[in-house]
This record gives sequence, C-alpha cells and structure tokens, in this order.
Amino acid sequence: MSHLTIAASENAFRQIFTLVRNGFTFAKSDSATFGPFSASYSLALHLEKGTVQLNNDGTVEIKALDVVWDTLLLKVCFDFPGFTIPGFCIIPDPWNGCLVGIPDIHIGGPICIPLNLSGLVSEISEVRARLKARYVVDPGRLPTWTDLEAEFAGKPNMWKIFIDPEFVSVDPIDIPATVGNLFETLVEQAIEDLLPGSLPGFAKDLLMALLTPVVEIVKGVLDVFDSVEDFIQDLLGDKLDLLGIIQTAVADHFASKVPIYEFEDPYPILTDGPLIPVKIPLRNLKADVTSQEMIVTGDIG
Amino acid sequence: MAFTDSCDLFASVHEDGLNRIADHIMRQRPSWFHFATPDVAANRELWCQVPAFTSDVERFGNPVFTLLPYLPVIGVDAPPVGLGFCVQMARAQVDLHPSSLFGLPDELGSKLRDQRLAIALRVCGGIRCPDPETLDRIPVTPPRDPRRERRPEPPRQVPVPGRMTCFCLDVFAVARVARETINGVERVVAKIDGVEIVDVEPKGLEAAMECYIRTAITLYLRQKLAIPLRTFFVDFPLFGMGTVSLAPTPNPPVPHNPAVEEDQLKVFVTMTMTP
Repeated sequence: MSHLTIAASENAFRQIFTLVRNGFTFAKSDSATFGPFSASYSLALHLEKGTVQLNNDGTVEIKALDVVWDTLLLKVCFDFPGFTIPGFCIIPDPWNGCLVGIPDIHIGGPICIPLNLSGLVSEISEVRARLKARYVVDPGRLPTWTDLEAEFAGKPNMWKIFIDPEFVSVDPIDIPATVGNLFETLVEQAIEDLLPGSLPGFAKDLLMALLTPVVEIVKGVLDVFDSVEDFIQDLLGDKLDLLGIIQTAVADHFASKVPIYEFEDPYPILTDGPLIPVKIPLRNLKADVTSQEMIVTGDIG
Repeated sequence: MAFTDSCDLFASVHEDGLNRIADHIMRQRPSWFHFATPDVAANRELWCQVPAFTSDVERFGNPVFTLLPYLPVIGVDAPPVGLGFCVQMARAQVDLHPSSLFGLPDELGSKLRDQRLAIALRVCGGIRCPDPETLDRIPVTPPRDPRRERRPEPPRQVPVPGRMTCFCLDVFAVARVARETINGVERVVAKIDGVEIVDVEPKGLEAAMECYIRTAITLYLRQKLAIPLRTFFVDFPLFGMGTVSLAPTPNPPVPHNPAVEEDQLKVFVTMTMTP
C-alpha cells in the first residue's frame, strides 16, 4: 500500500482544471505564400468554458472548450492582374472631338486586404487525456548541492502532475457571413484605390460600376471556389494551419507547461523556527482518475 | 467506495510512511531529540546514543544537541555543584489502529482501541557520576557576611566531571488525534491518553516518571509536531485559491476527522465555492 494518498473529488478537479485553463494564453504572428497570393496573421487567444468528465478507464475528457480570439488580424495580399480600361468620351463635342472624356486607365498591381477577426470564438470539441506525474530536476541545479542547498537557491526538484492529452480535436473556425461581405467590400475599396486619384468622384463611381465583375476576378486569383467565408476558414484553418497550431499549443500547455499539481521534492513539512526545514522525499508518485475522483499516491523515501 | 464520497479532498498517510517521516524528522532535527549539558554535548564519549543526522545539520550550523543547564545537586550551594547529563531519544515508532507493528503493555490495554494510535519510544539517558576524589577537590566557599555585602553575587555553579552512566527506558503511549488551531493555523495534533514505562519500580517512582513523560510528550507534540492540515495535502493547488474555501469536513458526514483507522491517518476537507 502506498504511504501517501491524496484524492480530489470530480468537483474539486474541475476547479483545478479551471486554474490550468485560465493559465493558457497564446500569441503568434506569421506569414506564408500560396502561389498567387500571400497571407499573414497576428493572433492572441485564451480559453474559456469547457466541461470536464473523469472516466474509470483513467481518461479525462474535456469538451466544448471555447477558443476566444482576443486578436486575430489577417492580411491577404495578391497581385491584381493589370489591364487597361480604354478611354471614352462623356460629353462629346458636337463639332469635333470630345469636351469631357476619360483617358485610358491602366490599373493593376499589389493589393492587400486586411481583416480584423478579433473577438471570434471557436471551439475545441474534445480533449482526451490521462494524468501523468513527472519528476523535474531544475537544470540550474549544481550536482554538488544537497536538496536543502537547492531549495535555498530557488532550484528545488519538483514533482509535477499534468493533464497529458492523447488527442485534441479543434473545430474549424466558423467565419460569419458578415466577414465574407466585409472582405468583398474591402476588395472593391482596394481596387478603387488603384484608380488615379485625379479622377473626379463621379468618374470613379462610373468606372467601379463598370468594374463590378472585377471582384470575381479577384476571387479567381485567390481560388475562391465557394463562399468567401469558406475561403477564409480554409485559409486560417488549413493553409495557415491555425487549427494545428492551436492543437499543439493546447496540448503543450496541458502536457508540459502548466501542471494541475506540483510540489517540491523533498517536500518541506516543518519550516518554522531557526532550524533547517524538515524535508520529506516523495517517491513513486502516480496520478490516476476514476469516474469519481483524482487519486495521487506516493511513498515516503 | 471513493475516497471523496463524503468530502472534496482526502489525504491519508499510512503508518509505514509516518514512521519514515518520524525518522526524517529525527535525522534533520536531532536537537529536538537529543538533550545534554554542554560538557556532555561536546564529548561524544559521554553520549548514551550516537545521534544519526544528515550532513545539512552541520553544514548549516544546526545543533545536534539542545543544551540544558547542569543538574543541580540538591542542598549544595557553597558552591553550587551541577552534574552533566543527557537525555536522548533512541527510537520512535508509531502504530495506527489496528495494532500491527508492536504490542502494548497490559496497562495500556494490550491492543489499540478504535481511533487510537500507539507510540513506542526508547529513551536513553545518563548522569555524569563524579568519583569521590573529584568531589573532595571542590573547595568549600567561605560563608558570606551579609553585613559587608548588601547584595552578594550568587556563587557560580561548579560542573563536576565524571564517567557517564547510561540507562534506557522503553516508553509506550496511547494517543488520539484532534484538530486544534494553534497560532491561527488549523493543525492536526496527537493527544496523549496514557503513558506506560516498562519495568520501573517502585510504582510511585514509575507513576511520577510517567507523569513527567506524559507532560513532556503532550507539550512537545503541541509545540513541535502539530502539523498544519494543509501539509497533509502537499501544497494541493486549491489551498490558497481565492474562489474556493476549504474546511475540515464536519460530522456528519465524516464521524472522525482526522481519523485513525486501517493503519492510516486520514483527513477530510470540504470545498465551498466563494462567490
């Protein structure tokens, strides 16, 4: 029989999970090129909600964990194919020529569409994990130190118990239709910005009316086969691999960054007074769950 | 049956673990278990037991012995004379209900009752016994004249050398455990119900010695070995969490908290969410 047993009810375990979940923050920026276009992103996110269930097979199931995108800035850049809009006459001269006309206009060149998707909420549908106890020797600890010297130097050995995910299932980032509409508006605005600034407003309106199909051209450039929302979802989730990045970050967080339980080894039990603290070595630490509780066992060394 | 059927946090320590903990405490705090006058502490030839202690004790300048004043020789004051002595704990062992590690003297009921623990101690001690020649060499101080010295300085005590005569006693105690708030911290502390010294005669001497030992152990446990409740949970993360308050589980649903049963010391804690 183990010398030491500590158990936490499922309810208490949920509170510990909340602590660990709230400790998760993640930020990253990156860019990539995908043939005719490139994309860059900057993101920061945290986790909220989530249900926890302990199972008799030793697994911990976390479901419906919200990923809150505090920052999600996406920029899509591409070269708009160049072409010339032939000049035409708006007010002809009844005797000869043209009183008011539009000259040949060449448009084309690089366009960047910035999208601010901050505030979106997506979901990690399931994390299945087991508890794992790890013994961690502080890398800064000198080999000649006793346990007490290591403690006084702030580099004690630690027992840490982690929720070690076996898999993390991240749902696609659901892009609302409003974002698709916004994207198309921004594309139109970017193309309008390509027109010479000297053109009067009415002329720009006229030209943009003529150029309405140009959005379709842009969609062709970006390989938007279906809706813009699906394109953005695919871009974020698969092409830029944000789903994989979240999966890895969440798995790392639970498996190796923030333990659900940690303590010094040897563990100080009597610390009052002028004498050195009494420290008790703990060995063979194990952590497991049943459907009712988390159980940690260990021996006194 | 789950450990937390009636609580949110549960901790238990098996008696084998408790005895290892006792051994660690004795080796890391030897001065809590070895007492001697300065002359005895400084001369290992005079020790009744060689204390086992960790290298950190000396490395960090901790004492091996708690120093005590010399034992006064009664009726002797010109000059006062003191004898060196030591008292040392040679062994300590705990047995939690039901009895499994050692038997108890009949006076303590042979076997443990429910919710009780037994402590077996081997206490060794000795007094330096001066030979007659040494005593003859101690000069007798002339009497003082109170008319010439208004407030005479008390004469200094003279410690006398001598060979150490050691003895050992086997002491058994039966105790229960209780929660007690000491210095604002909820702690688990053992309460002594009875003490028995083996093979001491006459009965009156035995009773007097048992009274002294019971008093010493009782106070010692309260002052030195009252373990904070949270220590049993080894820094469990909910302790200190602002949104959760933790308190010992009451009766009902837990009849004994802490409990001594199945060779274990158990504590139960209930969690309340703070709005």
